[in-house]
Amino acid sequence: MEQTSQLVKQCLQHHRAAQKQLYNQYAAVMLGVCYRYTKSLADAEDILQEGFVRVFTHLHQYRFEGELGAWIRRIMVTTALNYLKRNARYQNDLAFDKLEMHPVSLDSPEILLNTKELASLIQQLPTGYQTIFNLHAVEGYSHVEIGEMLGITDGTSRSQYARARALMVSWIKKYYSDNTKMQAYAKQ
Amino acid sequence: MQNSEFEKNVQQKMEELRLSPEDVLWDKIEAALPEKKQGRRVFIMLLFMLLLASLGIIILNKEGDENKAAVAAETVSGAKLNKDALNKNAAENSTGGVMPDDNSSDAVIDAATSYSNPQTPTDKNKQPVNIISGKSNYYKRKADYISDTADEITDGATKVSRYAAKTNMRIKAAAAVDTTDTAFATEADVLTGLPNSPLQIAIKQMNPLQERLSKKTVLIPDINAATPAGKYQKANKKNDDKNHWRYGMLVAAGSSGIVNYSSRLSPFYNSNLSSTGGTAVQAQAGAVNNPCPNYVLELGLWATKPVNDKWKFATGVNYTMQSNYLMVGNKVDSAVSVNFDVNKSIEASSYYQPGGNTKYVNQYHLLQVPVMVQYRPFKKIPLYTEAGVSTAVLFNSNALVYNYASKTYVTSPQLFNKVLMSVSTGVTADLRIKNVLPFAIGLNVRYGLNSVTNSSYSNQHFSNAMLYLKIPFKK
Repeated sequence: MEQTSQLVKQCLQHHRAAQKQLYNQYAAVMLGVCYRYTKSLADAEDILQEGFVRVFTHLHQYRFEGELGAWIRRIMVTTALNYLKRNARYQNDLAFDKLEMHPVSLDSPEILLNTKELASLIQQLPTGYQTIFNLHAVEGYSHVEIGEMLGITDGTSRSQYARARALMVSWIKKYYSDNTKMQAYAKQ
Repeated sequence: MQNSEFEKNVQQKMEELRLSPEDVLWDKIEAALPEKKQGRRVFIMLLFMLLLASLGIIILNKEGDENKAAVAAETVSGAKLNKDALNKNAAENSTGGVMPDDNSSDAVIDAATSYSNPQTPTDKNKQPVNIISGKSNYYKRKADYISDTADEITDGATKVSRYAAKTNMRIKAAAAVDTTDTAFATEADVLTGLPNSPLQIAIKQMNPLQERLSKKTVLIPDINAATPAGKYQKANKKNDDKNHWRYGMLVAAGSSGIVNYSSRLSPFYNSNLSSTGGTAVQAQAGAVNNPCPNYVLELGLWATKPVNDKWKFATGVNYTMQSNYLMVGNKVDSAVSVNFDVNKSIEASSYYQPGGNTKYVNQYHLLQVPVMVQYRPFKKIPLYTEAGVSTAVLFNSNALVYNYASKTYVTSPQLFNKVLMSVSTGVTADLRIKNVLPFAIGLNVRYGLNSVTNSSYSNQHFSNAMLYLKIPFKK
């Protein structure tokens, strides 16, 4: 905490070396956060760039309550949501309709995939599903909070998440099944 | 349970996700970050003010040298003063004072001689004449004046720069306290990007014109709101920079002139010689006290406070150097006593003769405090019209004032009003280059309400037209 405090103070004094150190410390993790909200690494890097500019220009508002990483992460999530809303490529997919709830699988196939495989599958979800899935499953926001963030009802958030989850589960199973077959084939 | 197990597993895996950004990304972020501009900004401003002060000193020195060089050749010196000629002139002049004889090229200033007219000691219109100094004393006094003027300008620039530095420090301290104390300045405000959050306000202030034209705003509720009341927070007015005072520095330059009502008051004035048969002397009397326009420089600090979206209040403190010029004749390094009004006798150590081709630059050094109101007629255009009054203290001047009775130009602090009032009007435009310090440019026209001279036969009002540049201390 002492080191973080010192680093933050140096960043506030516009020391470039300190700012670069902070960036290097969190860039890889935050790029992963941004990646999950977009369809491409290029878009994720755009969000990361914008997010870090916000981090440095508003670092004076960090009050050392909680981890710095968590504070930066929240900025990245907000930046990502803003990016999706103003980016034409994502705007259509963000429309949320009220749909019925779908039953979800009780299996836990997600543990069968590694991190990047799972991230890649999340990326393939439609943008609206992807956003809600990230906010609920990964970031841990409640459906009420997600509803407020995205301007939808919590019921819509629940139903969309259920569909997203169902899709993920089916894809994971299929992905794992295909992979297993391929590996078995390769061994022959 | 299994549902939460799914989320838990997904969360755990995503926590491990690391991706490497491209190398140039940091360069892009660095380019977008503000530099240590505050210190650099103050340094640049101080440097600019020093350059301006140096320029003023150079100009003053040059004007002083011009006056000195032009007159040196004409200064009457090294010859003997003809006492009889002086007596004769004094006797012929019913209004007293020295009447220089244009043909007295042999006249000399005797450093040790003190002369009085014994023939008219009781004539209340005659005044004793003191002859006290020589050529070397004149140059010494002139050099002292130039040196003092340069010191005043340097001191003025130093004081202004110190004030600017202190003001800047106070603004920064106030901003730090303001941010710390304000409940609204929380992480959630930054994160949410509410329209009235500091982030949005900062973005809007970066480009006020675009903000007004743009219809897009992103509304994201406060995701970290602990209470229902905190869900959609309104901007704390303390954090709303729109209604705060803004400070900065001002530099202006333009044309300075004199609106001269003097000749109309002079008993010797005659505007139409041909119709009234006036003499050449009377015509000259009407023309000699009409200085020609010259330049004006102004340097100072300004402060503005918005009253609402349309109106602003503005004030400041400025150092102003105004000038105009006269064409004069020989300089006579001889003490003189001249009457400008009844019971107003001015003692001067030297005087200038009229009717010459030597350019003499009158300079007036003032400290001004303007009070203005600014009005923005068009919401989408950052253009303001302004009007107001200004109070100034004239703390130094070398200006010559013509005395019709003795037909001489003299200068003395007693000839000027120390407090001058003026009215001004103009237009100003707020400009901003993206990611660079905002600034304002404008045109201001000022007219003096009272005369700069305090003689009943001399009524001169300042009139200026200036272009100015205003730079705020912070964005």
